[in-house]
Amino acid sequence: MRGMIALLMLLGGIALAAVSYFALAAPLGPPIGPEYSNPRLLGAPALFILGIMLIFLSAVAYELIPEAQPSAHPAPTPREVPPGATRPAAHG
Amino acid sequence: MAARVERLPYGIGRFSAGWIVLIVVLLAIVAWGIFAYSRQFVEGLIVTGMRDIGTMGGSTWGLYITFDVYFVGVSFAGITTAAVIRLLNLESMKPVARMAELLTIISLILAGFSVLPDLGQPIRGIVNLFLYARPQSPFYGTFTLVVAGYLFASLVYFYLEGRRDAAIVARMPSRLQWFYRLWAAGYRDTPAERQRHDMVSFLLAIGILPLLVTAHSTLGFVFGLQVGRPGWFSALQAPGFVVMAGISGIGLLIAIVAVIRALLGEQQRLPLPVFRWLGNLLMMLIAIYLYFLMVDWLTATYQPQEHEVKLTSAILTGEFAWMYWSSVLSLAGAFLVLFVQFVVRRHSLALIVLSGLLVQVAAVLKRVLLVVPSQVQGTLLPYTPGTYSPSWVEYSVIVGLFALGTLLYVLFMKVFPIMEVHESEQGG
Amino acid sequence: MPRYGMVIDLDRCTGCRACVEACKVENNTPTANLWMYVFRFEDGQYPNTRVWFLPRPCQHCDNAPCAKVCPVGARYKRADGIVSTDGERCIGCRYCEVACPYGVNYFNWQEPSGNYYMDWSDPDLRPRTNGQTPPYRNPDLDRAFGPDQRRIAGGGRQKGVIEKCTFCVQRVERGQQPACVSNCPLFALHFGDLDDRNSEVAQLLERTSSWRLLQEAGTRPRVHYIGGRPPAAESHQIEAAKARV
Repeated sequence: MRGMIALLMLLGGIALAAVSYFALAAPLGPPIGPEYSNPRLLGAPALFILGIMLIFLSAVAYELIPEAQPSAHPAPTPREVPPGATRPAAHG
Repeated sequence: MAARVERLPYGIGRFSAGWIVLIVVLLAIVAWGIFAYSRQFVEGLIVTGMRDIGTMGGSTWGLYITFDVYFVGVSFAGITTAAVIRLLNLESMKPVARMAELLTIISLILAGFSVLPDLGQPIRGIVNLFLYARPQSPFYGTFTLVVAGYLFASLVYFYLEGRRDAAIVARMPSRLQWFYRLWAAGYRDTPAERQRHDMVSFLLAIGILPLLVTAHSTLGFVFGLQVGRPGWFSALQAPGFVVMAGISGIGLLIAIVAVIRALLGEQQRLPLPVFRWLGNLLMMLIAIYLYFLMVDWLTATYQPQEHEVKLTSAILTGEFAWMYWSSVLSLAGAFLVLFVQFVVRRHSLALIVLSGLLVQVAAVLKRVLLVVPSQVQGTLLPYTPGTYSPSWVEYSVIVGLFALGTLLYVLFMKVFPIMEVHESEQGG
Repeated sequence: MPRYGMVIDLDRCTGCRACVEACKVENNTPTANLWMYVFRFEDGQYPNTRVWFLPRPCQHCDNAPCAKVCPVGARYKRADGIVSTDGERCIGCRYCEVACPYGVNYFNWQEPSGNYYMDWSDPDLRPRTNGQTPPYRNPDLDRAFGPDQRRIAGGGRQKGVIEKCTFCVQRVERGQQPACVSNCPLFALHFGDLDDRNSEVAQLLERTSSWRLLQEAGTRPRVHYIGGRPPAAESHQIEAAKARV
C-alpha cells in the first residue's frame, strides 16, 4: 500500500514533469514564430515544478504513511512513545 | 513552574545576552537592506549602478546576479556533503550533515532573494514564470530546478533526516514540543523505521546528486551558451560552475562548522579529522579549478579571436587585473596551505578555516569577473568601453541578504538540534 | 506573409543622425534610449584616416538570441520577422540584453516621465500649447498588433521593462515605412519585403553585394548593409557616446 502510493507518486511526478516540459510548455527549437513564445498550456511551468515536487514527495509519503496493518494499532503519535525507551539528554 | 531538569541539547531555546545582541544587530541590518530595496522598488533600478550595454556604456547585470551565482554555488556544499556522508556511510562526519543541509537551504533562499531585486518587474516575474516560462531559456532550469526542484529536494531530505532528532527532543517538555511532534510525525526509531529511513535517504542521496550537477550546470549555461558576449561562450562554463560551487560551499561550510564548534564547545563531536576531511575535499576541488583556470587562460591567450583580446587584456592586465590576480592568488594560497598540511600530515584548524575563507574571496571575485567585464568590455560592436560601480542600494541589499542568512541560521540553531543528537546524549 | 527586412547603403550615409531623431520622436523613447544609433567611426592613423558611418537599428535576427533566452516569451519573433517585445509580459530580467551581440536593447531604469524633450510642467509652456499638457502621444503606440494582439509598439511604457526597435510596427502595419527610413535625407535606408522580387530591398540585394553585421555570431540578421565594410578592430568612434541616464 505504502510502497504503491510512493511508486505512483514517483512515476506520476516523472510523467508530469516530462509531459509538461516537452508537450505543454512553449515548444523547443529556434524561435521563428510567435508560437514559440507561448506555452501550449498556460501554467505548464507550474506543472513541471509540481512534477519535480511529486518525485521527491514520494519519499516523504513512503516514510510517513504507516504500514498497512489493519486497525489493531492506529498510527502512533510521539506521545505514546513508552517512557524510558530512550532518555533525554543529560547534559547542559 | 518546576525547575526544568531535562534541557534541550545544543542550547536550544536558551538565549544569552550575546545571542540577543547578535539577533538584534542582524535584524537591524536586514531592516536596512529592506529599506534600500524599498527605494529601488519605488524609484526603479535607476538607483543601482547598472545601466544598458552599448551606447549607455553600462553593465546590465551586476552585483545581484553575481551574488545569485555565489549563493547558488554555496548551496552546493550542503546537500553534496550530506549525500556523500550518507552514500559512503562516514560515521564520524555525521554531525556535520545537518549544518551542511541547513547551509544549502538558506543559501538557496538567499539566491532567490538576490534574483528578485534584479528584476525590473519583480511581482510580474513571480507570476509570469509560473505561467509562461520557456524551457528553451536557460533561466527555465535556474528557476524550476534550482529554486523549486533543488530547494524542495533539500527540504525533503532535511525534513526526513531530522525526524529522529525531532522525536527525541519532542519527549522533553518545551514550548516547541508541538513543533517537534509535528516534525517527528510519529517517528519512534524502531528498527523497521530506521531501516526504511536508511533506504529512503540512500535513494534520495542518489537522486539528489544528478539533480545537483544539473542545477549548477544550468546556471553555467546561463552564461556559457551566449555567443554574443566574449568570455562567456565556453563549454568549460558549466563544469567550472559545478567545481567553483563546490569550492565556495565547502569553504564556507568549514568556517560555519568551526564557529559552531567554538560556540557549543563540541570539540569531541567535531574533532580535527572532520575538518581534515573537509579540507582535503576542498583541496581536490581547488586543484581541479586551477586546472580549469590554466585551460581557460591558454585558450584565451594562445590565438585569441579579435573580440576576446580586448576582454582578456582588461582582465589580465587592465582595469580588472587586481580582481583577477587576487582571486588567483587566494585560490593558489588556499591550495598551498591545504596541500602542505596534507603532505606533512599535520593539520591545524585555524589554517583550514583560513583557506575556507580565502576561497570565498576568490569565489566572489571570480563571479564579478564573469558577469561584469564581458558586458562593459565585451561588446562585439565597437562601442565605447563602459563602467560599472555598484550603488549603495546594491551593497545594502547584498549585506542585508547575508544578515538574513545568518539570522535564519542562528534562529534555526535555537529551535532545533544543529547536530544529530548523539546516542550517549539520549541515554540508552 | 511578407518577410520584412532593411537594407542600409553605407556609401550614402553621412552620419547626420536624422534617423536617430525620427525614431525618438515617432516612438516616444525615454532619455538616452537610442533604438536607432549611428556610429561615427574613424579608421587608421593620421594622416591615413577614413571617417565613415554605420547606422545600427535592431537587426531583427532570424536566429534571434534574445528571443531564445527570454524566460517568459515577452521577446518573440513575429511571422513577418519583426522581433517584438511584449511590454505587458516582460519581467525585466534583461537576459535579452546580455544575449544580444548588437547592444540594441534599452531598459526602463525609471518610470518614463514623458518629459523627454522639454519640461512639460514649465508654467511658461501652458499658454503656448493652449493649455494642453501632457503633449500629444501617438495613439497607435498603445494599440495591439498582430494575430495574437499584443501591445508591442512604441517606447516609454513603464519602468522595469525592456524596449527596443520595433521596425515601427505601427507604421509598417499601415503600409508605411519605418520612421528612420522615411526621414533619411539621402535615402540610405530602405525597408520592404525581402520575398517580393519587385521590392526595393530585394532589387538592391540582387544588384549589389551585401554583408550583415556580426554574421559570425550565427544570428542571421534581417538588416543588410551594402557599400562600406564591417567595422574592424581598429575602428573607433570619433566621439564617445555619453547618453546615460
